[in-house]
Order: sequence, then C-alpha cells, then structure tokens
Amino acid sequence: MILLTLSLKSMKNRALSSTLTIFSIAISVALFLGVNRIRLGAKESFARTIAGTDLIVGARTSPIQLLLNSVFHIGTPDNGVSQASYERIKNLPEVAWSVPLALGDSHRGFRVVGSTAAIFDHLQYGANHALAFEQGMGFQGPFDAVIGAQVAKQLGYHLDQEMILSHGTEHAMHHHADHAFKVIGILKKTSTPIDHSVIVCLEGIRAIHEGWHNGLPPAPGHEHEHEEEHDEHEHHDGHDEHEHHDEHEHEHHANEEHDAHDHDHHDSLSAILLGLKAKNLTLAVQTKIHGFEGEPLSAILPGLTFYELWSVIESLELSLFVIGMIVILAGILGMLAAIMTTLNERRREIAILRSVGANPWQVSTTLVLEAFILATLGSLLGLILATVSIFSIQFFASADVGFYYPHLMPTLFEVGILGLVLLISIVLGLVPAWKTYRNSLADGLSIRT
Amino acid sequence: MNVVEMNDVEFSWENSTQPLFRVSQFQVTPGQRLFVSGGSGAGKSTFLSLIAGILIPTRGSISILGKATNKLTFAERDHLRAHHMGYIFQMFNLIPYLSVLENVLLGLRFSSIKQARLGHNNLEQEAEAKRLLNALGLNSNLANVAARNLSVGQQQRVAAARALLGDPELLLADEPTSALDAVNCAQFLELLFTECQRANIALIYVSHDQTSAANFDRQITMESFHS
Repeated sequence: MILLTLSLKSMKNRALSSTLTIFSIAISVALFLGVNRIRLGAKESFARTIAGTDLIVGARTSPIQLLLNSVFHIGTPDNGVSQASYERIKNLPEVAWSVPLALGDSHRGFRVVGSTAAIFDHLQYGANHALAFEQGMGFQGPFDAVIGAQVAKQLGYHLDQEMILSHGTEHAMHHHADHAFKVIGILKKTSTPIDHSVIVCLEGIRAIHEGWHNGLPPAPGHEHEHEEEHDEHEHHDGHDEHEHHDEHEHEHHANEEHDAHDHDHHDSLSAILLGLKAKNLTLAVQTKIHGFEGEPLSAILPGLTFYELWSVIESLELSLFVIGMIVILAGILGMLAAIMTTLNERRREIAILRSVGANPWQVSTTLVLEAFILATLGSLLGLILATVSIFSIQFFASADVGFYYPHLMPTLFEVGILGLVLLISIVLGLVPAWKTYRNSLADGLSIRT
Repeated sequence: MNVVEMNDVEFSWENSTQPLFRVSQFQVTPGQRLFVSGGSGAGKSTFLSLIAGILIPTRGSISILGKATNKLTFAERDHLRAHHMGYIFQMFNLIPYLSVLENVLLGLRFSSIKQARLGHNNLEQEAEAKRLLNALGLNSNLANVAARNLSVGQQQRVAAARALLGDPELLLADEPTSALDAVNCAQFLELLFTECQRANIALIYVSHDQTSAANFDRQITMESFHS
C-alpha cells in the first residue's frame, strides 16, 4: 500500500512528465482502437447495407460490380435487364418477391432509384429492418418521390416539396421541368445508401427519359435531325413516346442490339433484388437465371459477394492493425524513456527508503507500479478518447459516410489489446526496476547526489 | 543483551586485499550514546552500513540485539533495520514531494513492530509524529508542508523525528549536523539526546567534528580500528 502511495505521489511530483506520458499512451491507444473500430464499423456498415435478399440479378458482369452498383450505388451498370427478363424472373415459381431497381439518374447529387412499391415491403438492412417512414407514405402516382433521411436533411425537403429529377448522375444539368416530382414520403434513417436516395416508381423514371437517346436530350432542332438520321430510329417525339417507340420496335425487330441499347434508358432495369420462398432454392434459381436464353444475366448471393469484396480490403486491414500496434509500442517506449531519465534523481529517494527498512524488491516495485499506473491511465483515457470520437463521427458525420459502429463498451478483442498494452508496460517497467534494484544494492545507504 | 556486538570483524571491499578496518571487540549497550570520529575515507559510513545490515563483514560476526547479521537473509536484515533502527543521513533525508508528516510516518511504513509500539491507529501514530516534531523544535503547523520547502536545519529535525518514531533500540546518525551552524548543532544534539534517553535508544553518532564529542557516554575513533 505504501508502495502504491509512493508511486502515485512520485508521479504527481512529476506531473507534467506523467501527464505527457499518459497522453502519449492515450493517443496511441485511441488511434489503435479508433482505426480498429472504423475498420469494424466499415465492415459492419457494409454488411448491414442489405439483408433478407437472397439473390441480386443484373446484366452479366462481375459479382462485385453488380453488388457495388445495386446495393452501394457506386457506379452505373453498363447494361440493364430487359422488362421481358424481369417478368420472367418475377414469375419463377421459387421467387417470393422481387424488387426492381432502375438506377442512373440523380437529383442534386443524390441517386434516384426507380422501383416499385415492393421496395418498401421487402428491402431490408441491418438485422432485417424494413424501410420505415418518418413522414408520409410510399408513392401513389408516377410523379411521387420518397426521399431518404439524408436527402431530406441536407436539402431541407419536406412533404409536398416539388423536385426536378435529372438524367444522368454527373453534372446533371438537363432538368426536365415538365416533370416536377413531389415528395410524398420521407424515410427514417438507416445509415445505408438508402438515406442518400430518392425513390420513385418505374413510371416516373420512364417519364424522365422521354425524348432522350443515348444519354442526349432532345436537340432543339430535332425535327431536322429526325429527317437526317431517320435510319437510326431513335428519335422520339416527347409527347407520344410509347406509341412511337413501339412502332419502331415492330419495324426493326431484327435490330435487337439496337433496341436493347435503347432500353437502357427507357424501361430496362439496373438490377433486381429477389427473395425466394426458401433459402435452399438459392443455388437452383441462380443456375436457372445464369442459363437464361437471349439475355446474359448474373445472379449473385449478396452475402458471399460481400465477403469477396471485403477480402480485397483485408490486407489493408492487417497493415492498419500492425501500424496500430507499432504506434502503441512507441507510446510505451516513450513512457519507458521518461521513467529512465528519472532514475538518477531517484537514487536519493531509494537510499531513504532503504534506510527505513524497504528492501530492494520493494524499491524496484515502485517503478513497475509507476509504469503500470501510467499505462493504465493512458489506456483508459485512450479508450474514452476512441469511444467519444467514434460516437462523434456517428452523430455528426455518420450520415454522410453511412458509418455504423454500434458498441459502446469495449469488445473482448479490445479488452485483450488493452491487457496486452498493460502487460507490455509491466514487462518494460522491469527494465528501470532492475536498474533500480542494482543501484539500491550498490548504493546501500550512501546518498548519491 | 547488547544492542550491537562485534567480534573479530574485518571488512574489505571486494576488489581490495587490504581490509578497510578490523574490530576485535565492540559493544553498544541499550541507551548508550557513542561518538565515532574519523576523517574522510576512514570508513565511518561503511561502519554504519555494517551495523545497519546493508553490508556484511568479510570476516567475524556482527550481532544486533543478539542476531548475527551474517546469518540472516537480505530480507531479514532489511526487517531488522526496519523494526529496530532509525537512520539519519548527513543531508537529503527527506522525500521532497512528501509532506513533513508523511516523511516522519515513512519510518513506520515498513515495520509492523514500530507501528505496534505506537498502536495501529493512524491518529495515535500521527499524534506521536507530531509530538516528536514539536519536541525537536519544529512548529506543528509545518506538518503538512512539502519537505522540499524546509530549510536544511528543519529537514534534519524531521529526519531525526522519523528515525526516533516507533522507539527503535538503535539510532544511527551519519554526520547529521555537518550542514548546521554551531548553535543549531548544539540544540539539535540536545533534543536528540532527550528523546533517546526517554525511550532508552542507543545512539551511534558518526562525525569528523570533535566539538560535541564530550557530551557522549563513549568516544572511539575509526583510526583505532586500523591496524
């Protein structure tokens, strides 16, 4: 007990040095825990983005690409799934529900997702949470829009707000003022890309694209062009598009490729989320879809593809872990250096302790105790720092990055790491303790000054 | 029983063939005040370290209260010192960041026996520490002042209070007054004697300065141990 008191008072005596040491350990521990939590949080936010979906179907592409496009809204698929294939897949006997997704448009930087009302019933995230409405309801008419929590927050939108959707995702400059959408529902926060999405029905998406071809808006002199490029059969009159289109399809049925391209911007889908009647049907349905004639499609298992994607990041994970450990080691070595520099001035104190009957063991124990206490305080402070920063990130920036780290208490792994930090500090604390032990034997009761 | 008893003691440092000193017969009886004089390098501090059990003799035996130090383990010798001795250094006696009272009570911290003599109660221990500080001429309102803020004279009094606390059988003093002026020195010794007498504490007092030697019961010189 007296040894602990002496260690504490000795540290208090060297308050500045002790405080700096504690902070250097705290910062290194906080850095390690912070990086680790961001890593886990990123993984968790990633993994919780989609739940309950058994298969994601898209035009043939790599599974990771399809996952990124459909779930994370990163990039746009090159090709789409035709309406015909969608109908076929939807009506497969194993399919319980399907949610079509038409991506590729934006509203003031937010992704527009074209879908059906099924999205509100079947899209799930996290621990199988369905989308929930903060205000309003799902779309009723073609020009109703449901917006994610972040869209509402950042653009300050409210119910009945009018909004203009534009074609394309980058520098969406061509607004279609003719088709103003109206906010009919605002979703609750999900911490997934849905928060950054504007959800409209497929008819709405079609309406945006009226009169568009190959990503180009109708040119002002389109009548003239229409004559000149008539053989392309792509120029529709904005007001009777469907009729016109159908006509073209019939006339040029042979030109399949051409039509498919046209469909990209009209009524083809970027992806379809499928829920099956039973989990064990997944592989059979996947095989069935891969074998579709006429249209090359991919069907992926979101969970599996997610881990494929994550494995790309794993080597980075390991290096972050190693760097974190090295930073902690540097913090502890800093503490060791700080203690070592005090050893000479301590020789006097040690002779005094020896004179009142302390043995060399007890004298050196004070140094190990000191290292242990500094490391403990540093680790605790580091833990607090990490917890506070991670929670601040979640509260203030989470929505922007879709970051989600749910643990308030340290995990078992973190407790293990902190234990390791304390163990290392005790082991390194033995260095000055051993030196002190030797000094105290050599000095005896003579006071070195 | 003699507090200290030496028989045919020889001490030499490890790398030296010539012994630093030889003591054929040496006793200190309970309550006896002994003055040991000697110039620098005569081995005064080494002599005290032998009695304190920090060093053990190369030959012969030293007994403290009947226990031969060369037959004890390191830890036992540390206990012997903790329980039965007090020690005053020439200077730098105090741990600078502890208060005066904490420095005095430090004398009890490693000895259950000294504590038992005062009663295990903290208040009784503090009361005795404060009484000793007063008896040695220190105002009790200095008790909570950090030791580093005291003058050298005051520090030596605190050191004496620590060494006396718990009534050890033996007080070892290594030139405790060398940093004090003549008036302070005489006063310090007088108070030390009073307290030693009260608790029947034997005092071995080492100094190169013969001025106060006459006040002791016995005087020896380190030179008499050199053959």
